[in-house]
Amino acid sequence: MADRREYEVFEVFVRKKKTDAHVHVGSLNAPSPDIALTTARENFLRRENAVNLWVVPRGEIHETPCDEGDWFARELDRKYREVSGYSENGRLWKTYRERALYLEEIVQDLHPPSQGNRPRPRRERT
Amino acid sequence: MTMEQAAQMGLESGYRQALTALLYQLADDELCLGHRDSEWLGLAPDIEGDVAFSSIAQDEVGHAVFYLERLHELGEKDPDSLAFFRGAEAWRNAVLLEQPNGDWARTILRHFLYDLFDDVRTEALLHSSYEPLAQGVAKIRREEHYHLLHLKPWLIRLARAGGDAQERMEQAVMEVWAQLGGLFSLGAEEEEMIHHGLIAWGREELYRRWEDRAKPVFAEAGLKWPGPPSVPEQDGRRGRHTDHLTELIRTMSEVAVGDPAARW
Repeated sequence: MADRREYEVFEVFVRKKKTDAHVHVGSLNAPSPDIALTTARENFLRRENAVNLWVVPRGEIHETPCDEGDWFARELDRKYREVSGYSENGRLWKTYRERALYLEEIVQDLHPPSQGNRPRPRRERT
Repeated sequence: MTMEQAAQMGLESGYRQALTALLYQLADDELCLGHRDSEWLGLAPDIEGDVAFSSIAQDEVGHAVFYLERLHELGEKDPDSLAFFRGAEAWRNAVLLEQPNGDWARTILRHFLYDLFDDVRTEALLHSSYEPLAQGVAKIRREEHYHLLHLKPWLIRLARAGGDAQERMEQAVMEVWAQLGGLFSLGAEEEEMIHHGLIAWGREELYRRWEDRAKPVFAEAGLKWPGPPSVPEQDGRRGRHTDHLTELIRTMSEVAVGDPAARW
């Protein structure tokens, strides 16, 4: 009888709104996926609403090894992958937008001295 | 709607009598079964099913409250008085629903067959001439949908499991069939109910539609269809009950009777 599996564990995922992703909320024992779905509704959504439910047999979930720390190793500097630079944008935008520009500055902006040799088709046509 | 408004509606006495009888049948069926369901709290075969079944019990009692409130609007006593302080002879539920639960197989079978009947009956009420009933029933049907979704796979699973589960389910069919016929009775007011457009179909049509739905499920479960169900000696729709109802009311009202004046 020991190997006769009458119940199995299902992991339960709830989608609360159509614009949300499914979120893992817990697990339950059930003898089949259809019964898992109906019991999941009452066990996890007694007081809350949702638009969709997933139940996944625990055995069908593939996971990374728990005891292999190197799987997630991040040892060297990876600041270049981070997006923290963007947090400056708000301040810079504010600084330049709020200051009125003179005509000379606009010309300067269109013809920066360092880019003097680059072709500018639009201006050459005039 | 208040009592005064109900009176102002000028409901003709025959209409009112048939409507009241129908509402008592609906309320008492749901309250009886809801209470029996609640007796499984902490005892169902698994914790997940326990929570789900308790939730279904609360739904059924909630539906009973809806019907009892409509009765109160028509001048009957308030819902708590009707639920806790009414003699068994005034109840109009089918006697099948007042019986003790028995085992899990019988609980699931009785509940499924009743819910299937209730689904047919509420369909017959969707265009009831009594607008508050038609509107409420539309909402109740949406909740009952889940009950059938929950109970049907349980029924099929137990019946097909072989061994003890299957034997118990076959035994349950015999026991439930002995009183099942009483569900379809609409009592002494059946003709009046139909005449006034309160309900679309009488007992024969209710039974025919129920059988059309129940038979395929029996086939899927591998259960032999036992033929038309027996009609019990006591017609609960006419206020005749088994002693189990008296016991049920006594248990359910134990706390309320302890101090009838208490405020909750």
